[in-house]
Amino acid sequence: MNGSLGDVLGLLGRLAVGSALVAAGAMKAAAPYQEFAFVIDAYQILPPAASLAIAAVLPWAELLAGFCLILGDFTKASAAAAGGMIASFLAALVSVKLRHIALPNCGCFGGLFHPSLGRALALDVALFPLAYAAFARGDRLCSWDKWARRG
Amino acid sequence: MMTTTLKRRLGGLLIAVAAAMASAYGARGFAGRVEMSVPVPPYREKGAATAPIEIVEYSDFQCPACRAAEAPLRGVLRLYGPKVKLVFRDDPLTGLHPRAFDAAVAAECAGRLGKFWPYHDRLYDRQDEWASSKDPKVFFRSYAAALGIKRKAFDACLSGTEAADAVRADMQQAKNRWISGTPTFFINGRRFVGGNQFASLGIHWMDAILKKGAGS
Repeated sequence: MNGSLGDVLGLLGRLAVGSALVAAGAMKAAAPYQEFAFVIDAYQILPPAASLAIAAVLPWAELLAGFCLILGDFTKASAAAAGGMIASFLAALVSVKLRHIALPNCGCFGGLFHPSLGRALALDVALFPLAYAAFARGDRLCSWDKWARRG
Repeated sequence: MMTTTLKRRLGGLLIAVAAAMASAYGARGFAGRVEMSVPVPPYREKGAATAPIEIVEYSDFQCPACRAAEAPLRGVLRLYGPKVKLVFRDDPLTGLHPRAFDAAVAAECAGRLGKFWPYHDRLYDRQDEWASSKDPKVFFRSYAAALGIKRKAFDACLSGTEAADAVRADMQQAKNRWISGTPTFFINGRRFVGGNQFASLGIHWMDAILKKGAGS
């Protein structure tokens, strides 16, 4: 199957989702986590203590999943984690849109840049199928997993 | 016994962890933010210098969340009385609030003329009035007059550069401290962003400071 379109899509999905997660995670992890918790609070979904806990953990989860995807290590697990994160970001953004809540920014990329709500939604919608492609076929081309399986 | 496959995969995971830490560290350097100390003028401080709790607030006079945080903040000052010292720092988010910088300069001028805190309170209490005005300086002057500030001195300060430079210095300080939202509070150095964090978690932190102080 090497070189097939599905495998290439899997590789592209891995690299695209991995890069997006690394950019988002690095900028958030570099800043004090209370700043990100403030943005999570603005979504009005979680109590402040839970926002702080998520703000402390989520950027590192994004970074780890992102680098695992780029490397192609634990590809299925990291693609599933990435898909779960993207699905929850989508759900949070949709709920904000439905409740007409004005966010200071979406919090997606820390201080790197602030996409509008519409663009953040579009980005997540685009990334979700790529995460699926990485999950389904991401470990077949140029992946650490493939090398590890050779024994 | 660990298989070669698992060993190799765990090796890859270690590389991913190292890369994650390096990229977060690199992102901090990329932003090029260095802590620096900008002195606060005494008129922007409230409470005893020896108070065991110091709250440093970075705020924006045009920001609705900052106005909303005034109620819990004033409540804390009433409740804790002499145990709390409040320090005000400007962080007008000029991209979001076009009149915030001018308001901060007006408050700074009021401070230089001896009326910082009453002017500060008035700006928040009447935020709707001046924030939606085409010419907020009319309101800034009327608030100053109502507090007995001399018109000539206030106007001279508004048109000068010193007050604006002081506000800009605070803005730079805020940027260097990674403050991206207002209000941000530092209670004895610990950060609380927004009124929610301040009211729900900050008060527990203050109680813990006082308890620790009482126990020692």
